[in-house]
Amino acid sequence: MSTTAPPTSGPSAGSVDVPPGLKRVGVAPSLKEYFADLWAHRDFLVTVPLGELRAQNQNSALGNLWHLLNPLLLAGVYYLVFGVILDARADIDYYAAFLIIGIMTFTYIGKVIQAGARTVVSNLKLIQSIRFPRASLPLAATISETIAHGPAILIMFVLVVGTSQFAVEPGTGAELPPIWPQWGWLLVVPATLLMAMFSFGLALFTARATFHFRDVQQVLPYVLRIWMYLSGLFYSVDFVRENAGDAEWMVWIFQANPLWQFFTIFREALIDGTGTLWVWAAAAGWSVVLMIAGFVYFRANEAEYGRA
Amino acid sequence: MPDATPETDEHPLRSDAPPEDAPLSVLVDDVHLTYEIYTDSQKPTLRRLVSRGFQGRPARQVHAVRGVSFAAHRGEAIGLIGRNGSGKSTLLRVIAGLLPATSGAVYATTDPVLLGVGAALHPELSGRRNVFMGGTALGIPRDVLEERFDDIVAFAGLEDFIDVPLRAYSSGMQARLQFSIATVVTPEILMIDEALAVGDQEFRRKSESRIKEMVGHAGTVFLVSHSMGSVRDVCSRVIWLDKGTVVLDGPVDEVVDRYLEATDGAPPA
Repeated sequence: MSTTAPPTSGPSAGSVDVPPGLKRVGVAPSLKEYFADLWAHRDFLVTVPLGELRAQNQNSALGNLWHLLNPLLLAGVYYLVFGVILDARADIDYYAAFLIIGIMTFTYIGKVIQAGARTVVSNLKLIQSIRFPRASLPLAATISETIAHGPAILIMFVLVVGTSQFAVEPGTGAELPPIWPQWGWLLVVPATLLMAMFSFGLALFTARATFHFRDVQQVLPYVLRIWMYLSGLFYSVDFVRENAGDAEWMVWIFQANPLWQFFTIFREALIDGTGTLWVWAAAAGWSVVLMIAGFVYFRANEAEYGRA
Repeated sequence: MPDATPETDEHPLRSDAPPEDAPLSVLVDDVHLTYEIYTDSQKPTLRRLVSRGFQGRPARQVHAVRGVSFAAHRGEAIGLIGRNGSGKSTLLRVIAGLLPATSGAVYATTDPVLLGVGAALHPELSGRRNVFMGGTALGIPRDVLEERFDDIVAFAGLEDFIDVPLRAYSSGMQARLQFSIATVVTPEILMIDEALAVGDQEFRRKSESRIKEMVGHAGTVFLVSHSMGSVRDVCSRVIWLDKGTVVLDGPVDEVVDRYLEATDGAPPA
């Protein structure tokens, strides 16, 4: 270009005196502003998940029924493998219910974490076009999976009642009393809330981690699977205790696992209609700590998500 | 209907330059933007980090914006012109706060809104649902969208297609819907990146008159376009960028004529 021209017009060139009434664009907002901004986008947080759920299974014959069928089929497979073939139910009452509750819980947590991992990388175009608090993406994914989990919870109630009608005591073969709806079931509401917070915290971690390393998405299913096997999905804490022998610390570590804690909370609530205070306290602690830590980690990179 | 304009007026929609002392709305202060391109256009993977170590990533640095400064005022419509790769769109994204400037700063009265709502729309969903998807993404409350829904659809001229999935829309129809959603609540500072080019003649006229209306209400509009016709129709001032720097900044006709001369485009008859 041969054309040259005066560099700029206007009073501003090169000066750093900011005129009154103007504020800097693109700097990280304060925590208070960030939450205000999230609140201003509250309709977005609900509209997007509902739209996505609608679009997701629109083209399959059974549609949203798959949200129920997937964990059900999985429960059937596990019952066959661990309950019948390997006969792991040896020491557990209501083993079918025990298994179903664990799988439903694990399915939800795993889905939030995996959906969360995709949120930033699959919405880069949106991030580059519209300014909005980026944490709304993993949050919307959590809300979406939580809505989809609603029917699964109902099915869980039905199956617990249904399978308990045929439950027998392991060993003796004596009939176990059937389970009927009970007040303790209401514990499912706070338990689901805690589990959503916990999963959201992890989703914030995986969302940013996947932004830096796409590989996370590939590794995640295996990490989740190993975690599931370590958390007593088809065996109880008694099994760990027997095998630990004198090494009591192994039992402690097993019980410190938040996934086991959530399995336990839901199993006790649905099968016995009760809860154990320390398990609830530990799960609540994990949830709060992970949510705060995940948020801090995710937000530290807030301005950079557009630079991809 | 807009007021009857004299037929002799060549650009009936063009906003007049605001008075010299119009208040500032955007201040761009020596903005630089450098980004890294990975040679195979991917983020580093664990494997690459392991095999090459954490230093010496195979990145190429692109200095897309090199020290741009200018001030925009309320009631000003500013065109950004330049060849492909001159840094127009990148600059727009920096001003909108979507890309952090490598150095320098942008100041504005409110958050500038980039007309980029297309990315928030979902192809599998109907136009109706997408009005809510896109609108809420821009932070417009749902009840406002419900209230103005008919206006949005009417302005986009999509009454007959609003329940059809978006994937069945033509690109012009999508552009109309996007513009209509993004301007239903008039942003104080609006930035448009080539969005008008795909609409048909009638929609172009309608959207240009809406821009004019915004500017008339002391809004500020930035328009990136390769259509000198659009730029002449809408803008009072033009900034010509090349290789990330400002070549010329001034009244629309003067800058556009010099730009066309320099790029061998035919000057207007």
